[in-house]
Amino acid sequence: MSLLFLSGVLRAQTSGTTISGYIYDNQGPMIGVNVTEVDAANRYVAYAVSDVNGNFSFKIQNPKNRIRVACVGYQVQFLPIKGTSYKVRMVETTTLKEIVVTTKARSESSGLAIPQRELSGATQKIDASEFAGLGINTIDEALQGRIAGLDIVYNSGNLGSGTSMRMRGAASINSSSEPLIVVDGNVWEAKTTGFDFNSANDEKFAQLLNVNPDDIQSITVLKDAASTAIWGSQGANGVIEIKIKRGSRGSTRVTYSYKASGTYQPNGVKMMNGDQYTMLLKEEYFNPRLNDAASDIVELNYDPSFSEYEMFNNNTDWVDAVKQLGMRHNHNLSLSGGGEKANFRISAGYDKEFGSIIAQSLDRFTTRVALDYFVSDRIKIVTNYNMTYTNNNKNYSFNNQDILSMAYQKMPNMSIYEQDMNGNSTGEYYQVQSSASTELDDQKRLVNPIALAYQAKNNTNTINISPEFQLKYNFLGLTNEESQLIYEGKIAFNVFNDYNSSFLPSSMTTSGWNSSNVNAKNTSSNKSQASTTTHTLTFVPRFTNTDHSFMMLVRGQMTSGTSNSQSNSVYGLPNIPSTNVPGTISGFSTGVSQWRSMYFTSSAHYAYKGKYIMDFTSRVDATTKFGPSRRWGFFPAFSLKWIMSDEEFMKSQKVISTLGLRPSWGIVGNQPGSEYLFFSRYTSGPSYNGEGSIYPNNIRLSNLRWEQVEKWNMGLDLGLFDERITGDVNLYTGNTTDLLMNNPSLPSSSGFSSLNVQNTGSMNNTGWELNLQANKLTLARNLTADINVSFANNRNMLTSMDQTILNSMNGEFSRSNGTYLTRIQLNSALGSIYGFNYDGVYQYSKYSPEEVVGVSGPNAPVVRNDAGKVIYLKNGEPKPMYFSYGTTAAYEFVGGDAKYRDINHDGNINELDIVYLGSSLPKITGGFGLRLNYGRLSMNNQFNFRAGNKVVNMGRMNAENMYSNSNQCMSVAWRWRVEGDNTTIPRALRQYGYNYLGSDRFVEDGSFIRLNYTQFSYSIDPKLLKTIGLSQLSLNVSLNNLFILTKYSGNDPEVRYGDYGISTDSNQTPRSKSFTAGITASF
Amino acid sequence: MNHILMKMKHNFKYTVLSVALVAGLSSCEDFFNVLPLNEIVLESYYTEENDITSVINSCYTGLATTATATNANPTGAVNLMAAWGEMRSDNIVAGTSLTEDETQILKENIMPTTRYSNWSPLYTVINRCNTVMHYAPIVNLKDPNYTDSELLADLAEVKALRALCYFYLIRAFRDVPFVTEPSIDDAQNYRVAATPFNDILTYLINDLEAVKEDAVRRYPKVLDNTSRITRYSIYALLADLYLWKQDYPKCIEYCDKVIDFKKELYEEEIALKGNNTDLELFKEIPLISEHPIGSTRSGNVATKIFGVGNSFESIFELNYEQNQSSSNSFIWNYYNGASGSIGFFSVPPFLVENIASGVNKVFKITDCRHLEYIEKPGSSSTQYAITKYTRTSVTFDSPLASATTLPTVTSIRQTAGYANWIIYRLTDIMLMKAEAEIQVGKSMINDSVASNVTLKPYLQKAFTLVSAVYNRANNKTNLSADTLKYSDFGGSATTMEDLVMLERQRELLFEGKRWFDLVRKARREGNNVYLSSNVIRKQTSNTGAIQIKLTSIDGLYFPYSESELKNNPELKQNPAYDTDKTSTQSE
Repeated sequence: MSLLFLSGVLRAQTSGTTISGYIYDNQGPMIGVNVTEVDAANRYVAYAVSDVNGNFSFKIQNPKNRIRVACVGYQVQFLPIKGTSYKVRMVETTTLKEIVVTTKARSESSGLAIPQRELSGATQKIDASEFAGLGINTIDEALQGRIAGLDIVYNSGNLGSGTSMRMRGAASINSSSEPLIVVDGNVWEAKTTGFDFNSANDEKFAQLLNVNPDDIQSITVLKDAASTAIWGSQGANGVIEIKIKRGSRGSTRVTYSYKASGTYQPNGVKMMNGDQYTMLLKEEYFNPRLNDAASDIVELNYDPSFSEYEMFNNNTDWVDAVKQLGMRHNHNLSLSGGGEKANFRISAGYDKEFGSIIAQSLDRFTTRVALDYFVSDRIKIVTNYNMTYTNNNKNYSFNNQDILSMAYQKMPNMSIYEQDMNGNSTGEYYQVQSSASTELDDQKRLVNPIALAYQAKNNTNTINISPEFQLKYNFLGLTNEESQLIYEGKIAFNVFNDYNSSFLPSSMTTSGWNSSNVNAKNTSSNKSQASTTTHTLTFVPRFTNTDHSFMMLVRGQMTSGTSNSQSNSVYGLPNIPSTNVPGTISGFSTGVSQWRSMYFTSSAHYAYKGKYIMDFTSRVDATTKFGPSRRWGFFPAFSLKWIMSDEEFMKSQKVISTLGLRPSWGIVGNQPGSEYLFFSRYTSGPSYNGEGSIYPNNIRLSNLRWEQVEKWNMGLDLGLFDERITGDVNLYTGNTTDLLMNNPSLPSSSGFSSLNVQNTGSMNNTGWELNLQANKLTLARNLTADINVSFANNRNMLTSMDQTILNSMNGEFSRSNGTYLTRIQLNSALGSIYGFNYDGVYQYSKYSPEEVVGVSGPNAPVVRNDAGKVIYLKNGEPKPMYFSYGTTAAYEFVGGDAKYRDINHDGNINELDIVYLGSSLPKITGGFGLRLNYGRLSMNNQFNFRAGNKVVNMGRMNAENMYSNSNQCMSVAWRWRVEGDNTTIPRALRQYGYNYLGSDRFVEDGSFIRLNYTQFSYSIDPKLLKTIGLSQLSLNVSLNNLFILTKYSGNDPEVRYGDYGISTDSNQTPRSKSFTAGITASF
Repeated sequence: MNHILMKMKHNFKYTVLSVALVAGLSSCEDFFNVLPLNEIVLESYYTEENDITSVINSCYTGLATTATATNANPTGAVNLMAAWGEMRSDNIVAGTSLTEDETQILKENIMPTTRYSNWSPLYTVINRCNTVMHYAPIVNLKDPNYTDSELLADLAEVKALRALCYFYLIRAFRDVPFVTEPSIDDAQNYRVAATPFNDILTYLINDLEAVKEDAVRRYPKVLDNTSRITRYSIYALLADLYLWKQDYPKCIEYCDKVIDFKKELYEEEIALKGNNTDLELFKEIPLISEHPIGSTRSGNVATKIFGVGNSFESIFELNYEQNQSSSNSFIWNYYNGASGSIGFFSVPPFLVENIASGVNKVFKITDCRHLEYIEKPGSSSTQYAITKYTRTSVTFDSPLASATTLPTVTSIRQTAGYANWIIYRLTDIMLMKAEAEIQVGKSMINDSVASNVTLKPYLQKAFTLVSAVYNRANNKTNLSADTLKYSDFGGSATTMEDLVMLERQRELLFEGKRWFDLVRKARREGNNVYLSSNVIRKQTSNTGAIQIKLTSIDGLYFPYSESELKNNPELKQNPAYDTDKTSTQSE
């Protein structure tokens, strides 16, 4: 209870009258107490602070207002304006009794604030505190295996390369399948000119690098159409909503955390050393022509009279030479707090990382300011500001190859450094001379990876700034007991700039000054600015009958943005010691782009008795990507929920605490990736006889329509044993129609090779997801455990497509080694791999029914019928086995050659023997985790897995094909060498034969279980800390990617989807392993 | 409940307000009216004459495209025009660094996957021509400065360019999709069946006959007279079309128009300047002399026609200029570039060997042309390089009949591929006329008069034209005696036809003409005997199989490309290539 004493004469006041007063508590006068005049909306109109004697005075604005007296730690008092003199006694709040406030946990999505238990869409939320202290750079690393149905795959282990994500399978052929990322209600999209997701480089996927994991409060993943509906066409691939931490009322809290990590590369396959390599190559050159002269290559001969002898007599482990122990430091400082008028949170993070491959480093600086200012009870102003700067020093990508993959190919008898006549290193990097034997041309094109790493430069830096301003106004009631009508207006800007520059010094090439690889410099920059204005009106009526609850929202949004880019490439820049070679501009381009979109969405939620729930959302989208007649898309969604556990008949049992059933239906859309499609555009070309030319550049797309996905979802929410175990199951199916396809070919008699985009067919994705959690299971005294498990399965199928387009996408069998037939077929999934069946190696050239050791045997290249009987020709000889007989590629197999299964027994290995070898799409993805808490110590383990997917191990293919001068792996030591050798590795044949046709030999099972991280954390007893002025101190140790269980023979089975969904592992840098130690302290 | 409804109404009002706010002051359609910033859209194009001129220029640049990468697919239009007209003939054998596609074609093993079957560069030009035809009349209505006669001249120009493209296509593929509408919208049908050779040929002739007099006779810019379509280049094209249509009197008529124009030009020049040191009359026809007046050294023809370009003899050629970004990389890659090494293409030895000893059946020692067009890059080289187009200037001592060694050639190479690509020049027209004269003569033969009597005037006319061309190349003047003797060739129409064919081969070597000449002859005669017996001369292995392949009349044309067949289900593959793909092993 507060007490107030009024003194002075009561008389009518007018504005401008000065009032004064005295403020005290039971210890005497109080200094620094805020005295404000507030209007009916509790807006401050006049203000004073009590002085050292507890006195204050100010002029009032309106006698109808009230006076508010407040001080931290004391109760707030309101006084009517009556008289000019006041005497106020403040009462400490600590004398108050504890008040219990009950409130329903509400969803933190960008739509309606629906109570968590009434959510009828398929969503999954994870609190970021679960990831505290982990050695991660982006939040997706921690999400791996946690969200059922969200398949996250690392692009590569290079710094800043990000991940590729698929929510419930790919619903599109070649438009983006990446889910939408929404940060605090703003679409997070670093848009640049002409961005094509299929050819996108790693950075494009790494947009999450712009969000510091330490700033994240929680992550909600929206999966079905009902929950993504408010995002309309943008949310067709699912939505990941990230909520950023904000300040909260209370004293200012400073938190500092530091993490140090060491990273290292896993051991890959064992490669040959120089001695083994030269022996192999000699054989490789000899075999095709059975000619000693063919294998007489001076670089392989160890001939001391050869001028470069010292550089070719080594045993260099190139792979080892490009690996190193990487380091990462993450510093993060945050400041948060708040009072009655404002809450704030300010954070800054700095990361410095050195890669586990040499000469890579990444710096990142992030800062974020979140401010909530309460102008009055009705008006709230929210501003956010954040900036991220990254500076990524990457390896130069020479011929689009990682330096690790180059190291795998580099000839191991060559030295890294040039050596003098005694074999001592001179410290100069050695490159294969252009004068070296012509047979070594492929090695000449492969520059010294160590030299490339240290001497060439490839730098990207990006800066992302996104300020935001928001205003909230309550028109009607302020509490849940009244009807509410809330307006929210928001304007958000996003500025994203990136600059790339790379330089390839002349020391990388030995092929003359006018080569385009001499002092080649590339620079490019992209700048984009976008602004989004959003208006939202939320209406929550209060019914007298509390069985009904209802809320609805309408929202309109406009986005407009521009981007521009420029790039130029120059080679032969001066500083080369040649006299008159000028720099040559080899490429120069600029691009400008502009986009606008608009949408209106309305969403309604109705609940009867809190257990029969109905949601309806509709969204109307419009974009500049379609012509006027097709511009608007309408996307409705509808969902229901029945919370069965609230029914009377369920109340009697104690096992099931929550049981909810939620069916949902909705349509989402997808728009093409580029602008101006519905215009016939004219571009300027080269001049003719000095006059400029302009020509039509495309066919305008007036028929292009929205790609639509109709999604059904049936969900079940489950809670057992008083929510000790919670979980949910979802069954879903989605039909994509009017599939957008980029650049479908057109008969070239039209004058164009393709349309830009076309609606071409339909696709289906069906699957299920399971997500289970056991919360705080008590195992023993003080020992509790949390367990999480998630499983998901998705089946993808192309259900219809124009036959001509299908034919044009499916290439012909090229009859060449090392390639797989890519085909898209109706009623089968994307990601299907086709090739030959590999049956080992022909043991003998000559056939005999019984083995004659060293001469002939039954395992020889002869044709057999269905029954396995050898077919004989008229002359009594067995019919020989051919490859592509009757074509220019015809080849007769001999002993030591790869043996492919002759499926149709026609004695001819050709396209008719190609069979389906499996799919790159996993049957099951998911993860599981176990967290043990013992007092203040906790241990957290998280596993993720994928099962049933096939990966084309191109890395192994290149390391086992014995076809070029690339170094090979140790397994080829088992190669076939002489008649009668019984082995599965064919003979060495340089540029000859068909020993590595695309076959199941290199298609491997990519299933794996990975211990994604294991973490120990300990927080020190706050009582102890108080003495040193800290409020929190915790220590973390974590090990990331500690082990992986897999049968896959390559570096890492986690390989991103490539063209047509096929995963091809070509020795890209695998994910590194790391160990992290961290400390977090709060004041 | 009532007050809820009230509030709902209230709410609705706000909804309307909010929507109005979002929509802003401007209307929605304005908001979405985003136009490309670095391109022009059709809706705002085609307002003035210049817009038409720029697109016409793009027809020329489209025709002048060459593939910069050696394995680019599609290749450039020039690569196709040259390769279709030359590659399969007896003028070309494999050079160095060629790709699989050329290797296989040179072995007469043509696959539908070859990039030489990708005709898109020509259809790109056709579409641009069609676009001009569609929009030029509209601009004519909009722009008062764009007069009717300018419109007609522009239409004639693009129709001629389109006809040229189709003419190349039908000679290479026989029946092709015939498109005369511009490709603008995705609602159009782009899957078009092939139209027969003769229908297209007739259409093209009628099309050009209707517009030929509308074309510009002479441009204000001298350069344009040989590197843009003029009335005379339409005549030349018509002559060629009639020759293929086997309408020989019409062919002669148009050849004469072209020849007369050049005579007129010559007389103008003489009247203006007194004389021209480069030009000389051969059989009353003005041609560039091998040795300019006042010089005894030869090579002037190669320098002026192929080195400098846009010569007096030129009728239509694609112009490349050093200061333009596009260069003629066809010459660079296929013939031989700056380094002097051999390109993709090389020369069969029978064309060059044993000239000095007089055994060579094609060139006599006095003939300047082999010195100008072919060289042996070094004494150690076993192959010959094509030097036509690759040198900016050539000089050598005029070869003498009595000599036993060839003179040394001094030349300057192109520093980059900026050689023009010649489509029609005067000697081509002269030899077309010669070919037509013989055919007219043959058609005159009847029972009442002895055939050799009927033929003689025609054979003599043909011989005179061949002789003019031959004499020029052999350093004979207008007045000196013919090197070739009429008596050697006048015996029959066949011997004279063979002479014309041989002279065309010698004169138009490597200009993308020879294979078409052979095909034309085969079409006329209804068999491939002459063609296969000539072409087989360059083959060194597998000749039996190649000879069999060459007997098929369908096999004279390229197959439709694999990807085109996939994209256009209306197209049916040429039967010569429509074999069962799954050849099985014979037993």
